Amino acid sequence: MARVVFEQVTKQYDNGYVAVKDLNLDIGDQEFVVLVGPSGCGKTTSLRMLAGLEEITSGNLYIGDRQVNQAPAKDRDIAMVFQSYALYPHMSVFENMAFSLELQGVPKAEMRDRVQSAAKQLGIEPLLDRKPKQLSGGQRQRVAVGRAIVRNPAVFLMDEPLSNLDAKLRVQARAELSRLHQKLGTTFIYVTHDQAEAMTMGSRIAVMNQGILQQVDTPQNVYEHPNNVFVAGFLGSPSMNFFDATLQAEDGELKVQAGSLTLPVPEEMRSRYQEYVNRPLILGIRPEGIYTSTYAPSGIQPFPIRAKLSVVELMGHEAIVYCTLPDDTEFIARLDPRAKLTAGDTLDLQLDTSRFHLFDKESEQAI
Amino acid sequence: MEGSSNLVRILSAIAAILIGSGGVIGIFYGLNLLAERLPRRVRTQILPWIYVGPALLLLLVYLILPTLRTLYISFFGRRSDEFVGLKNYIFAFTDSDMLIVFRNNLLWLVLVTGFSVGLGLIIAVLVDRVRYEPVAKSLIFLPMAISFVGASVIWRFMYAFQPAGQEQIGLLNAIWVSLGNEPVGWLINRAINNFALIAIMIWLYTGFCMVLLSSAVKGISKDVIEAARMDGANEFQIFWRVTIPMIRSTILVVSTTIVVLVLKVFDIVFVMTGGNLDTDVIASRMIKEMFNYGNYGRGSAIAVILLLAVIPVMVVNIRRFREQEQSR
Amino acid sequence: MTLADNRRQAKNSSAIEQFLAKTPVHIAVVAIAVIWTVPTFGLLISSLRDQEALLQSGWWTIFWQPGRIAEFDLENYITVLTSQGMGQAFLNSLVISIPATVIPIAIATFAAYALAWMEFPGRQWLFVTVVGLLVVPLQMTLIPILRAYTQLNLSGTFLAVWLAHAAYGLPLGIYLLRNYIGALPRDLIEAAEVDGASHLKIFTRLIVPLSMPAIASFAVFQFLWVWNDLLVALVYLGGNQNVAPVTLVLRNLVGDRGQDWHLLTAGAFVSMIVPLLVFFGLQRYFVRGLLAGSVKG
Repeated sequence: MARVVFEQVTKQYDNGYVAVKDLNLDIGDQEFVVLVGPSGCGKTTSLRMLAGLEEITSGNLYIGDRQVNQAPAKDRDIAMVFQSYALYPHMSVFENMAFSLELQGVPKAEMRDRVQSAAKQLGIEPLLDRKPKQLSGGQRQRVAVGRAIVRNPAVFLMDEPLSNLDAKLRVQARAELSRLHQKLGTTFIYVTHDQAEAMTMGSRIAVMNQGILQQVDTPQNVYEHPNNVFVAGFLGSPSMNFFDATLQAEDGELKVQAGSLTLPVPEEMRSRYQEYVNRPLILGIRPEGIYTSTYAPSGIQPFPIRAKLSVVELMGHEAIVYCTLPDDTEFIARLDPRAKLTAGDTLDLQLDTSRFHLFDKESEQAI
Repeated sequence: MEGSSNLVRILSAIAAILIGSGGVIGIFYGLNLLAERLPRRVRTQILPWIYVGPALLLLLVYLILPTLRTLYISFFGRRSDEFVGLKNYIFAFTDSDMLIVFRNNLLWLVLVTGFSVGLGLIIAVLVDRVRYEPVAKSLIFLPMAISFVGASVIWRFMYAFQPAGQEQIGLLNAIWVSLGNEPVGWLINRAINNFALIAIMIWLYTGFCMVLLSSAVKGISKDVIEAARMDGANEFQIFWRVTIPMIRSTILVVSTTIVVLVLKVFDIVFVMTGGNLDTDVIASRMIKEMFNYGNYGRGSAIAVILLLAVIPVMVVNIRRFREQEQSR
Repeated sequence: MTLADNRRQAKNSSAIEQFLAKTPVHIAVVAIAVIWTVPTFGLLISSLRDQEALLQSGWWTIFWQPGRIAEFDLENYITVLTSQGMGQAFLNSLVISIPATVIPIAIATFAAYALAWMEFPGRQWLFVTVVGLLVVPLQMTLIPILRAYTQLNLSGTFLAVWLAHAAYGLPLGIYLLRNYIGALPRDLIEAAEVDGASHLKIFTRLIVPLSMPAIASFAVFQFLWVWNDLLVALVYLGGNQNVAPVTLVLRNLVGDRGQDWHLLTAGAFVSMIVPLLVFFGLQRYFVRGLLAGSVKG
């Protein structure tokens, strides 16, 4: 079936630049895997190597059980949706969708049926006679998807297919693509720099940075247990707050010391952290792990701090608040907007000590 | 009978056109079919050469090798059988006729380039402000479609000369005489015949310059012009201080194109005066050496001098291209 | 007077003012346009007048005596086309120009595609050579090629001029088309690759239709150049009157019969009719292509 395997795949350009280094990734049949990372992290290069648009420098690539290192794009049984959609401007929507079938020599009648049914699935039947120029952005995106669907490929590749849509359409298209994946039951590999897309769509997400795969797991696992500082900072908006910290042992208890903050380590974590006592660490706290006293939910392990609010952004359903501790350390909190939040005020806040992250400062790996 | 022979002529013309045009496309399809049969590895190596091959072959056979050959011949005598060293070049740079040829070419170069680019620029800026712009542009651009030979015929009528007292049938002399002057032999008078020929080329190429420059002028953002206006610049200051600097690269491209065209100019002189009466230019003189005097050595030497003259343009061209590629 | 009237009047007067303020511009533009058109226009009028009238009075005099317009006839054209070999020359020009346009288009488009989108060693170097060849005067090549043609017995044949014109037009064609084709979005070509298209399919189904504007403009350029050419025809066709194009015949008219002005006028117009039609029909493409090629960046 259409399992996709990257085995020690490396891409080095002629000028010496290494775009992807030793990528190992095993994507199961029918999975929806999202490659995510900042621009230049190698995610698009990985996708293009899989598509056959870029040669691999070393390693092995498998689609199904077949090694495809050298196979040309057309023999890989894949379809790709490009960021720019890459619709052929001189062909009608129908011709765009039928082009690959025509090249395969599919009979005319079958070609028409397949294009029709794909168009129906996407609700673009009335547009079949139009030229791409006459379509809206959302319609073009659907045609691009439609062009991929008609081929009935083993693997769908998508390179930031939603980045040219406005915010509202993007949310809608996100749900549509997820539904499409469920219906088709084909392997999807999706590249994006948008962590919201990655979190919402992927059955697993693969976070990349500087050509190196950082972590692969379900979105929730990656979010809750980031492997390293990069992953922790990349996922979540606003990003996680980081503080320089050390662990200190006192009277058999462990405490995280970060500036003027002193947080108790919950009992169940103590044995794990024991060996890091007195070593330089990084403490990470997500903005949503901070509460105002009035609206703190039950079930947290609160630790009180006092902070000055320097900027308050009220978003309606939440408030993003830039805070400053007495020792001038800054951090961001996501608070309940019903609390009376005014820039300049000093407020009592609660840190949830059951949800902090610790990283080794030197290796930036989670401990 | 007359009719049927005409029909035969037309049919054979059509046949020739089809063979000539179809042949080249047939060759490409044939080569491609052959390439498709090769194993994939070999094919990806060979296919690019099939695509560029015919072009490469033609350029090599018709431009590169002959250029080298001409360079070689230029060191030999009139029949190319005895080595004469630099004799042909010494002739070219010392013969009194040749010196006139160089003087003429310099005149052509300066006047045609200066006037057609300058006028073209002025017209481009002016025409931008009137509503009948397309019509005016088409009329001025029109000579571009006319051959040098056709243009020569047109201007023969403009320059026609009858002795004083007779009715002038050339427009220029008619106007000149009606102002109370003696008629002028525009093409015969050695003091002005070169200028008369140069005017023809200016007439032909001003439209070309105008079209290119006009699009560059239109490419300047309105915001910049308005900003200059708000800074208190008047129209002339805008022209000199904003427009010209902003389209400098286009002016350069247009000028070099005209320079190359002028250096190669041949037809106008050849048809209008045959190069007599001190009107020869490099290219017409070269044809004369070849065909009238049968001196291939001198003809080649003159051609080489022509090439040397365009080498600076070539260097500028290549450098500009390299810069463009880097910024791509 | 109502407010609307007032406003309208203000608008009118400002329109007039605007027009007046631009008077010098109008005068300059109209004057230049007229000066640029008069020579051609004069020839057109002259070509319709008979031999005697032509030599006795200037063409503009018919405007003082409008009655003489009735004297206009096509006599000169008929003579030139039938007895002066202009008819055959016209056909020859077509036979020379059409293949001499199609051949370099095909060769240049293939080469431009390869130079823009195929990987092979030396492709940068190759294109730099083409850019350099853009300005090589074709005079450089006349003697060696003529000698080769004479040895191969090609002198005076259509094939000789087709190939020569094709080669001389190639640098410009490759340059224009490479710039245009190289600017097509990479995604499109890759999408076609993923869709399963071979290079030839990408070329015929994608590159050629999308490059039509550039191809058309090069076509116009090359056609005008070949049709209007005198030098190449003169040198490679030699004295062979059976294959001589209109420019050559016209030039002979100028040379041999300085007195037959009436034939010259009609002949010149016959030689101009096709380029003018092509020019006006395809002016849009012509200009666009020029811009795409020469003023890029």
